[in-house]
Amino acid sequence: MREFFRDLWRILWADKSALTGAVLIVCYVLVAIFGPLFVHLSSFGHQSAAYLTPSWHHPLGTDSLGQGIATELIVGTRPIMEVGLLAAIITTFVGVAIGLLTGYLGGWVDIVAMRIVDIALTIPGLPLIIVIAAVIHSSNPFVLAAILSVTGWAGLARAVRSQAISLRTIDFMAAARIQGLPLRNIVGRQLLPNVGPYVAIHFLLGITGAIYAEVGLFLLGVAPLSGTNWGIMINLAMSQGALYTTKSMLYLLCPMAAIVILQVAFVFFSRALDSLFNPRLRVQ
Amino acid sequence: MISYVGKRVATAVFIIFVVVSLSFFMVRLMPGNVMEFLENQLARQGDLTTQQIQQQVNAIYGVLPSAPVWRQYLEYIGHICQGNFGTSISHPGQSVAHIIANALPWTIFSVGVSLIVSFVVGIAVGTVMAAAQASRFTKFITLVVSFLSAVPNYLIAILLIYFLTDTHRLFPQGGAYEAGVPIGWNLPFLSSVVRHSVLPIASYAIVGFGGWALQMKGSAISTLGAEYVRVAEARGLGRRRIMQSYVGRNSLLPQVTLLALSLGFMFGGSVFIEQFFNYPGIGYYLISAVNSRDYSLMMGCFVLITVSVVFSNLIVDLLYPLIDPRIARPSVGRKGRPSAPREIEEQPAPVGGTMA
Amino acid sequence: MTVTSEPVLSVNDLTVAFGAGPGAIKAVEQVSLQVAPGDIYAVVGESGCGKSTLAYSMLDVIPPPGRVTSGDVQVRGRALGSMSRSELNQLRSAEVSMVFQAAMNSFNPVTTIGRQVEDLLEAHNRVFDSAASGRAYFDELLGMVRLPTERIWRSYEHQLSGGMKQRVAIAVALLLHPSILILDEPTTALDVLNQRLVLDVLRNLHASLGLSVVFVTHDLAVVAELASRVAVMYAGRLVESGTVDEIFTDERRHPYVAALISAIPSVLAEGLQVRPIAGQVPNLAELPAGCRFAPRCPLARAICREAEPPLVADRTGHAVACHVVNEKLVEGTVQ
Repeated sequence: MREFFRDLWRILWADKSALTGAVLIVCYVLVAIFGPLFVHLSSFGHQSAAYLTPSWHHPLGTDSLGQGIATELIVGTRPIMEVGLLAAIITTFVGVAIGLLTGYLGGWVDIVAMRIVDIALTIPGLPLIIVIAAVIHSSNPFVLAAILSVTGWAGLARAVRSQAISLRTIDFMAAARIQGLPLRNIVGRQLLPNVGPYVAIHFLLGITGAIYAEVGLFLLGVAPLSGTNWGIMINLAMSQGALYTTKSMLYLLCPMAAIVILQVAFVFFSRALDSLFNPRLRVQ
Repeated sequence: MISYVGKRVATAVFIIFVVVSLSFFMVRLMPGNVMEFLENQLARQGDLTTQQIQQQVNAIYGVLPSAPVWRQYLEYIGHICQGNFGTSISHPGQSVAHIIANALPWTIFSVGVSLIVSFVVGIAVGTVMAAAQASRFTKFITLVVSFLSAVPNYLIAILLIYFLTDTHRLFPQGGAYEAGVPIGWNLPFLSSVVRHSVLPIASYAIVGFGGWALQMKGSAISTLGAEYVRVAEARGLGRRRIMQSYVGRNSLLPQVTLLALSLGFMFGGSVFIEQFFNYPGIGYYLISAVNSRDYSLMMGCFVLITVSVVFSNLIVDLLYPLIDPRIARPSVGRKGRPSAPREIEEQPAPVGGTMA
Repeated sequence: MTVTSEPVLSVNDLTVAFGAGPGAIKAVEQVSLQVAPGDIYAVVGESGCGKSTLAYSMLDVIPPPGRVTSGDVQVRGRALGSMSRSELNQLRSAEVSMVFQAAMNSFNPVTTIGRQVEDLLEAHNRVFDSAASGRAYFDELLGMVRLPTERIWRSYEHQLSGGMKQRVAIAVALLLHPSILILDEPTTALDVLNQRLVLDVLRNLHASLGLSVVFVTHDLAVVAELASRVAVMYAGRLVESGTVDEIFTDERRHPYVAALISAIPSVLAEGLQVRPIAGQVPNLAELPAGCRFAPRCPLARAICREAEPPLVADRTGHAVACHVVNEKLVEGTVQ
């Protein structure tokens, strides 16, 4: 385990973009957790303070209601990351569980599950998410996360299943079975470490996917516009004509930048993980 | 070979069937049973008999609310098979099928062209990257592409609109074609269509080509290292021949298997892109149906989007044996089961693609 | 038997290195050998001793990042290093031809065998008058390797078994009437029956076509059966070369070769005695000073750990690189 972190550190140090990504992610997480403690969104905006240019008081200017954009960005970090993280956890958990179970048990469980996986993989996820979100008009992060996960688990399930199947036939599995090790041990000690890297990377990319879909939902107004987050900010900016004027440019562009920077950070960081788990890819 | 085709078609039909059933049950399970809601609404208008109310609801949702559920279900399936998706509430008087029939070609056009553009550009860039691995060009492009693939396509769309339409008036703001231009196969119409499609297609393609480029680079590099390429060199074959017949086709094949995945993603993205560009495709109507609580239109759009994806997947699956001879002819000695394109190598999905 | 006629292929003090700078690994170091017309020349050694790299260098198809850093390979007196790309392409398969190890991945998976043969004929369109005569000769070769002609032409590589692919590869390699055929481990990946078949086929082809053959192997039994001359490599260097009789029966022998031969279990001996060689092949990145075999050699002396032994040939051309063994020769004890 310690080796893992040492290797990770070494790779991050060598690949500066991955290091930047990791640092940025940590920053975002810190802002998400601690941000709202330090800045507060005032309940009432001042119309007169709308669309101010950046100043010391409001480093990124103000929005149409006079709220500080920087403040909104900070406060809006938590809902986005919360849901993204939850959704990734759900998809990863469900995907791994189903993959392991079907791969190891086989039989009709496998056949039925594979049909379902096929369907989940073929139905375009985003329209389905939109339809369901439109119907279940909820802003509860857990519900939202669950909706976002409706098709995402399938790819991971299939990959984990094929790993489980191949491991099922490998010699050391047979050896373990002959030794009478319980299922728990086989799964924990033999299967998981082999499947681990793939799951970890899928988890990271799952967060990015969830954020993509989530912000999209807010952008379209399909998810209720309560509270504030980056998606809602862009939505409000556009509905107030930000596309046709430059004075609300910051209001429109800042949340977009926040999203892009986070997504890019994840992608770069996942490349480090990729070369960590696959030494052949390492840039020496 | 027959079993391969048969299996693919059967799976496709099955999935469509599941989706249609899903749409039926979703309408009924929605909070505030929509049909009841409509019934009450119509009843409150006061001037219709129960019979007429039932017929109205039937016309809109394709289902007779008073009949038992299983009967409703069968009727619904029957209607769908005949192409009757009910009537739209937000566009009164028009059948959902009519709206969809007008919208679908636009989506297929924009998504199709985008896919071709990003595929071709991506493959070309990827090949260059593989041929000149250590060059600065490659490193630069890799960085650019990784960056672009992380940006959500709707944000690109917004940026394009913001910078290129109003403030700089380079491209039209929205719509599929200039209002007032006579529709038909004439030049003003066609050029207007093209002009209006540039930005939407750019939104898909800018984000999309990167994935293809990286995949192609990886594939080409591993093919270049394959032994049969060195053997071809040892036989004295020319560079050109080797690149074309030996490297090209073999590194291209895995990309085809990704076409299916990409299609699903692009259709999904169309709900955003069409919304922002006011592009009257299926994605646009899906969103407008969602926003106006027009459930019959919403379900119709959803079913059609899924059918489009399933259908295109099927076409790719059926065309695949034509380019990969290993599928059609089972091998000797090993398990002769031909593996479908999507069962080969799982590749990491594009950012945003694992969910959507 | 020294080589009197001009060698059809000669390797002169060849060094092939992977990587650059001081850390470069020399897979082949200062190796020289000569293949006379009609020879069946075996290059023997363990995995990693550089024999495959040596074989690739005879066609100039060393996989990058390897490259020749000194010495050269000459085919009929022309150095490969001085040829242009098109000259090399003309040479490949038409004068010097190679069958890769196992031939399992020697064929393009998405085109038929026939198509690939056509590619070959096209690239060398001056060898045959017409595609038809090229095809006819290919069919003849297929017959000599005992394969059905029509079926092979239309097959894809995944439809053929390993043994069949090996023989097809041999036929393809011989299509353009090369004077030298190089084979990398021709029997290693095959089952016993196919091994027998390939050896018979090779022997017949050598006899009827008058080829010179160079084959790389670690199987001494194949060497004993097929080869006329042998070169033994260890850790990148040539340690012994001579005729097959000299290698197997001469008393003056490199200790490594002696150990290899005695390691072959005898079916006739009582009980099964396996006598492996103690120790391991040295890591090419960390070579010992002096003789590379010294750490494992029962005859090793002080001088062996200090200086690399030179290759010294006796009157008949049998060359050994060993201080201890050559000492007797130099002193005149062994003739």
